Amino acid sequence: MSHRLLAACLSVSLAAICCPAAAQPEFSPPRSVVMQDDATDDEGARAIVKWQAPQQPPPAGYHLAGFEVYVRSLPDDFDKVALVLDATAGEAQVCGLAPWHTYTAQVNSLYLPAGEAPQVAEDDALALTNPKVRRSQPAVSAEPMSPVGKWYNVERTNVLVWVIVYSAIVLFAIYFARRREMYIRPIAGLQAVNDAIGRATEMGQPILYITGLSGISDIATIASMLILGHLAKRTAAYETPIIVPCQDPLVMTAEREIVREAYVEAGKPQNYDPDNIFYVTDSQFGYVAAVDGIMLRDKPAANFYMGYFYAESLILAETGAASGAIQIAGTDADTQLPFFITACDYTLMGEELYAASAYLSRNPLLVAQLRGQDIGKVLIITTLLLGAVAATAVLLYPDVGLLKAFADWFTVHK
Amino acid sequence: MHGIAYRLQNIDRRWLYLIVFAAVVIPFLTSLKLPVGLHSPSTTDIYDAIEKLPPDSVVQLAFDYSPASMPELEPMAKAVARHAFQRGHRVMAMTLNTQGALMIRRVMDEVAAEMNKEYGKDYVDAGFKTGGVAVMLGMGKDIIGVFNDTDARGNRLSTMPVMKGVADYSDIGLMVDFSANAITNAWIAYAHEQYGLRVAAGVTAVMATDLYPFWKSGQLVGLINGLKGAAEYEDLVGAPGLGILGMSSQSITHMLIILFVIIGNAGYFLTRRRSQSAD
Amino acid sequence: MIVQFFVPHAVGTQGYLLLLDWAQIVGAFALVLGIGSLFRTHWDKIRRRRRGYGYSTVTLASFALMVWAGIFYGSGQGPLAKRLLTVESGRLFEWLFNNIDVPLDATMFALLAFFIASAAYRTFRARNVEATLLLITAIIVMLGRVPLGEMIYDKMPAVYEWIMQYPAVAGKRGILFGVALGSIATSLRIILGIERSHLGG
Repeated sequence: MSHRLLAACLSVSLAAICCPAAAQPEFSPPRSVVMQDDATDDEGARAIVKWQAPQQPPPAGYHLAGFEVYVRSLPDDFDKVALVLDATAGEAQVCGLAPWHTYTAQVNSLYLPAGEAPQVAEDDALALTNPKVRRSQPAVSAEPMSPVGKWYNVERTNVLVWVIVYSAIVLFAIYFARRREMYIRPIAGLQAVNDAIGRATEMGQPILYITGLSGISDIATIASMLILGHLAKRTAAYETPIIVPCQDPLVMTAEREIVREAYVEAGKPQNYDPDNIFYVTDSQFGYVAAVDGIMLRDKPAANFYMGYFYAESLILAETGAASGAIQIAGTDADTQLPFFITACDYTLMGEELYAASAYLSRNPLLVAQLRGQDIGKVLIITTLLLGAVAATAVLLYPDVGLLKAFADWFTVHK
Repeated sequence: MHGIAYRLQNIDRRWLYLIVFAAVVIPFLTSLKLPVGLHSPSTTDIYDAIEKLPPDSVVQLAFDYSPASMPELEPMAKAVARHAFQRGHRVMAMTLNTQGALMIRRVMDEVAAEMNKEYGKDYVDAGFKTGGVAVMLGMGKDIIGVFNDTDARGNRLSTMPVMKGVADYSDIGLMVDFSANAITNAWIAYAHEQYGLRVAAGVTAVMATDLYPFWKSGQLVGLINGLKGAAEYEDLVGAPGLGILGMSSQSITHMLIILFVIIGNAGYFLTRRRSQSAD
Repeated sequence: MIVQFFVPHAVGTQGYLLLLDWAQIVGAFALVLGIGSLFRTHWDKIRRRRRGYGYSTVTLASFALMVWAGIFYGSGQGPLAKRLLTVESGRLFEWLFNNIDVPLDATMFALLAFFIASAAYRTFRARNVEATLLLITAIIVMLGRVPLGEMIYDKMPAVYEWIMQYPAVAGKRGILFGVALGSIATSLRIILGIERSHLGG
C-alpha cells in the first residue's frame, strides 16, 4: 500500500514538473523608454517620453491597445500623466514639470481582448474601464533627467537693447539735471489748475477729483495720484474741500495717505477729512452714476478727470459741463481723448499726464527726465525712418542678406 | 437774423435728447431693416478664419464684457458662436470679467438650444476665472488645470468630450475675445505673442480704433467693429439678429447727429457774419 | 514682468505668477477696506440725516440684498429657495442680475448716445482749418459706419476703411509711442525712488 502511495505521489509530482498549468500569456512591455527635454519649451516645464513598440507580438486573443505613461520625481511615487490609445504611438509630451527636479518615466503596454475597443472612464480621462485590460510590466527610463529651461530669450535682444538704451538716456538726463534750469513748454491744462482752485475757493464749492477707473498698478493712476498730491496741497492751503470718489479700494487707501500728507505739509492737518476720499463701487457705470449724482447735488466748481477712463468719460464730462464746473481732464486712453477734448475746458493728452508731476513741482530731477523722454522720441523717429527705409529696400532687393538682417532686427520674435 | 442765429446755437439739450430717443426707438418699433452693405475686411477675416479651421476644431470665446456693453457685443458673440456651431467646431466659453460669467449663459445657452448642441459634447462654459494675466499665462500651459478641472456648472472638464485633446493654446484653433476695454491688448501681448495663440477680437466701436494697428500688423486675425460689425457677421452667417435690426436706429441717429452739427455750425456762421458786419 | 519677458525659464514665470497671486490677496483685503469705507460713509449720512441720505439708504439696502441673495440663493438649491423663487432660472441672484443690474448698466451706457448728440451739437464748430478737417472726417466716419452712408455714396465704406487704417492708425501710433515712453520714464522714476509723492511722502 505504501509503495502504491509513493508511486502515485511521484507520478503527480513528475506530472506537475513536466506539465505545468496552462502557461500565462506574456504581455510584452515597450522597449527603450527614454525621457528627454522638449527643445521647443524654453521654460523647462515640458519633456517628451519616447519608447519603442514591444518586441513580442500580443498574445493570442489580445491586441495592443495603447500605452500608459507615468512620471515621478524622487522621492515621490509614479504619477500617471498620459494615456495613449494608439498602438503605433512612440512618444508622449509631459507638462507641468520643473527644471529644478529630476524625473524618471515609466511606460506600460495596454492589451485588450481582440475586437474590444478601449473605454475611457467618465470621471478620469487617464483610466480605462475595460474589465479585461491587461498591463505589461513597466519599462522604466534608464537615465533620470531634468527639463532644461533657457535663462535668456535671444530673440528678444533687440527689445532688451532698446530698453537699456532708453533707460540709460533717462537716467543720464536725470543725473545731469542739476547743471542748468530747463525749459518746459506751457501746458494749458496745468496752467489752469491754479485758476480752477481759485474759482472753487471763491465760490465756496468743493473740487471733485477723479483718478480714473483702472487699478493702482496702472501707470496712469499713479501719475494721477502724483497730481492729486500737488493739488491737495494747494486746496489744503486755501481750505477748499476736495472730494475724491474711488473705484478701487487699493487706490482709495493710497489716496487717503496722499491727501493726508498734503494737509500736514500745508500745515492744516485738522482740516483733513478722510471721508472725503471714499470707495464707491468697482462697477463701471455704478461708479459713474454715483459721481454724476455728486456733481449734480454738490455742484463742485472744478472737476478734474485724471487717469485711465473707458466709455464713461463722456458721461462724466457732459454731466460736469451741465453742472457748470470748470473741467480739466488728462488721460492716456487715446480712445477717450476726443470726448474729453469735446466736453472739457482743458485736456492733457497722453504723456502730458505723466509730465504733469514734473510740471507742477518743477523738481529739477523730474524736469530732466522729460528731456530724456524727448531724446528717446528722437531715437524712435530715427528708428522709424530707418526701419521704413529698410523694409522698403528689402521689398525692392530681397536678395541682399544684409538688408534683410537689418530689417529683421526690428522684428519682435516669439 | 440775430434771433435765429442765437436760437440755432442754443437749442435746449432736452429737445435734442427727445429727438435722439425717437430716432432710436421708432425703427425698433416699426422693425425697419436696412441692408447691411459691404462687409469690412476686418470682419470677413474672422469669418474666413473660422471657415478654414479643420473640422472639429476648438474655438475659444472669451466673454470679457459686462452688461453695459452687452447691447453692442452680444449680437456679435451670438453670431460667432452660431458660426462655430454651423461649422461643427467645439466651443469653449470663458471670461476674465466677473460679470461675464452670466453673459456666457445668456449667449451660449440660447444659441446652443437653437442649434441643438449638447453641453459637454459641443460646448462648455468654463466660467469666470480670477487672475487676468495669470490666467492667460496659465492657459498657455494647462487649460484644464487653470480652471481646477471644473466648469462653471460644477462638472469635470477633463472628462468632457468637448475638452478631449485640449491641453493648452496649441490645441485651440482660434480665440475670439469680446470686450469693451483694454483686455484684448493683454490677450495679444500674452497669449498671442508668448504662445502663438491666434487671437481675434469683437469690440465696441470706440475700442476698435485702438485695435486697428494690431489687425494691420497681423497680431489680430480679425476685428469685429461695433454694432455694424455685428450686423456684418450676422449677414455673413445668415442669421439676422439685433445687430442688423440696430442698423436702422444707428443709421438714423448718425444722420441726426450730422444734422445737429450742421445746425450748430449754421448758427455759428450766421453769428460770426453778423458780428463781422457789425464791425 | 520685465524679467519674465526676457527670461523664459520657469524661475521667471513662477516668480511672476507668485507675485500676481500676492497682488490678488492684497487686493482682496483692500476690498474689505473699501466695503468698510462704503458702509461707514453711507451709514454716517443716514444716521445724521444729511442731504441725500435717502440715496444712501437705497445703496445700503441694495448692497444687503445682493449679498444675501448671492450667499443664500446664488445656487438656487434647497427647498426654501425653490418655494420662494418662481423665476425661470431658479436663481434669485441671477434674476436680480439679469433684471436689475443688466438693464441699469445698459441704460447708463446708452446715455452716451444722448450725450454725444448734445456734445457734437455744442462743440463741433468749423472755427479754423483743422477744426473743419476734423468735422469733415467725423462726418465721413459716421456715414461710413452705417448702411445709409453706402446708399448715399457707394464708396463711403471704402473711404471710412482707408481713414481707419491709415491716418487714424498713424495718429494713434504716435500717441502710443509717447505714452509708452512716458510710462517707462515714470516707472523708472518710481522704481528708483526719485518720485515718492504717490506714497504720501
